[in-house]
Amino acid sequence: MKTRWFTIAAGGCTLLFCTLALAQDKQNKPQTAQSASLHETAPSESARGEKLFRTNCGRCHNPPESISPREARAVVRHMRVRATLTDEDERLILKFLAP
Amino acid sequence: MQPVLAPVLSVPLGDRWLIESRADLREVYFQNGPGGSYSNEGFATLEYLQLDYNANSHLTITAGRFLTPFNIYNERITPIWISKLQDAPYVASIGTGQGYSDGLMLRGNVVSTNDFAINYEGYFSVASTINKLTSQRGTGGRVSVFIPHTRLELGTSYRRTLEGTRFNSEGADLTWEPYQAPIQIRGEWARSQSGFGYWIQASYRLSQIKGDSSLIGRLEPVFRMQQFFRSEAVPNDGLPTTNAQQPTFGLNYYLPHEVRLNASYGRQLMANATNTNVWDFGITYRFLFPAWPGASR
Repeated sequence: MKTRWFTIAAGGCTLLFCTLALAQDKQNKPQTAQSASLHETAPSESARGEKLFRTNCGRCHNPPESISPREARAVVRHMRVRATLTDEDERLILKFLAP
Repeated sequence: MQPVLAPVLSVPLGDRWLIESRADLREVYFQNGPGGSYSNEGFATLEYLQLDYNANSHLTITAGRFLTPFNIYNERITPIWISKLQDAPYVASIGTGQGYSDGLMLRGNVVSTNDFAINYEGYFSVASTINKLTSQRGTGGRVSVFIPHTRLELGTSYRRTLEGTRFNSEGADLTWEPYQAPIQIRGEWARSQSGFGYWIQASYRLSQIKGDSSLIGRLEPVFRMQQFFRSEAVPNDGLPTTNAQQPTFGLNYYLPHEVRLNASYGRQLMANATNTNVWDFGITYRFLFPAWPGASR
């Protein structure tokens, strides 16, 4: 009985999170769409690197607030191993972190 | 109370090589029984010390001591500045062989397109009883599919423990981060001879309200539900001794300069045992600095 109750609670909370998040997204849609189209029309290497960072590295953690080129090189090499990045991904993410 | 220092060392050598290491240094303060005096004890763990060779996009060879790749928790979420809840889930010890492996690992990208990527990790670990470098003999791996358009990743893991009573462990994991919102869903299922269990966690950063630097936008509620079902008594397996379940609610607050405050409350419900409240409060600070002078690029 307890198991059923907690499973329902877990599902309910997950749905609540999704609903809240997606509801907020609708309110912010113009801004999101604008930034998306910006990336689609002019994807510089840095922008592509940012997208790759958020897609791969951002799955686990936020980007560092500030990072020097030397630090970025070490961090990206680490992320290449951890996130199984390709050669091209590594190069573009480095462009984003240390343009 | 546990002050923890987790130094990470990363040394790129040329274009292909990397030496990396992480340690966990902690001092645990505890009370000797209700109303008793306080004592403290220090622990030092070398979590990984590995040499990586990036042969190409499809193959990286790792030798040394590394985090066992089983599901997602052990490799990705254990750093204290990453984990959104400080307590490890029940099933974190399934399939990881105490968390660390000493041996050889191959990992890489089988295929990567704009629509999907398939990644793999495979390893063999020797048995080690060397102080600070203990590991179990075993072999295993993980295969995952990642869909960039939806930021959905599904993985499956396997391990065969090859010392003492040999047994298999299997697992499956999920990570989903929709582009539309700063929401993250993570979960794992795992089973071994001891039993099976799962955890699923949802977090939502409130940055959509007034931006991620606003007072409210720095807040991130987290909810995790986990259960474990015991099937066989196995000593020292790191799992609850009976069936157990625990819902946990947490709040993270991201301050400027990589400082994060977190607090959580969980209710541990054990079959045939006393239920307990689990409170956690923490503060983490992440910083980077170059270890020695070098070229700027």
